[in-house]
Amino acid sequence: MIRPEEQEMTEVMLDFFGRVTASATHEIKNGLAVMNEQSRLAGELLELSRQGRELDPGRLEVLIGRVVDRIGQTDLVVRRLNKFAHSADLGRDRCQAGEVMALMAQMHQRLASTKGVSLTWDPDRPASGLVGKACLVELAVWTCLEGMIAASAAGGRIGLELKEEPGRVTFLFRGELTGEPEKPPAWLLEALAGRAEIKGLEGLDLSVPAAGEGVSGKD
Amino acid sequence: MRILLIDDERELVTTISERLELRNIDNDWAVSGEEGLALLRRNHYDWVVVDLKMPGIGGFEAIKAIKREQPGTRIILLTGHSAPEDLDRALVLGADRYLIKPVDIENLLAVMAPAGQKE
Repeated sequence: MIRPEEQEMTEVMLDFFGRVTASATHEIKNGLAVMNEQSRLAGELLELSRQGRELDPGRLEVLIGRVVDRIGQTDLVVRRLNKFAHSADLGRDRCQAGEVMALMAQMHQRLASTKGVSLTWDPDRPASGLVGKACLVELAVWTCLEGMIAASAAGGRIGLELKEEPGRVTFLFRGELTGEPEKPPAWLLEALAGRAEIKGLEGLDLSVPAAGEGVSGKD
Repeated sequence: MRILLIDDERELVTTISERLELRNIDNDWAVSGEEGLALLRRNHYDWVVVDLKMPGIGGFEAIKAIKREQPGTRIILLTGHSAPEDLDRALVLGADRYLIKPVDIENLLAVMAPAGQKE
């Protein structure tokens, strides 16, 4: 028999995984659509040259270069999605705060931009150990980002930072908000032994206990 | 036939535009709903191809504005995914058709051809 709180947790996690994968696959599809058009255009230019029209090699070079660039960008999205998927299937009970911050910010970027909000974070932030399952920490960060974006006006900026203190790591979400952001649900904070503190219209802090040695964050 | 392409993916619209030009099809492109609607106020278009998810004025809002500005202009919604409720909403708002990315240009042109208009 599933308890109501377990049922809620399962539904929230499924919703989270659904939204993250939908957003990532949307980006992948856009990348494929661009590559499809560019490669077909290259093919059409070649076909026209066979029919006698002058072919500008520079134009073809630019097109091929763009396809190559786009392959790289789309590959990055696939890698992020793969990393995200493994955060659940490997059932890690520890993860690295810097990695979680970067991964969730990267995966939230498209959603934020559709609302006219930009995200910034320090991608080179040294990794920090955290207690808590990777997928739960990711959900907590994702939920905070959603709350921040919902409370931001179009054109707004949101910054993410990490603060390390003895025994704790804090994710700082900052922006110029039009309302107070929502906190992650109580059951999630309880599962992480975490705390969330609203900072008025500036943002919120999500604090979780730091882990010791032996952090497993790579696959 | 004159077409307006609206998609925040610049490389996509510029490449589709170039492919249409190779076919001698008159077209303009815009990388936001706002830019697209500004073009629509200055020019007449037979067809508008508009992306669903864009920052600022998105596809749904754009469809409503297009129908207000140029009721006779026909609209194709371009989308990266196929959530049935989104597609139904687009059709209710006035889109004539929707196409899922990646779009085959011959398919796009077939939809715009007179026979396609009857579908």
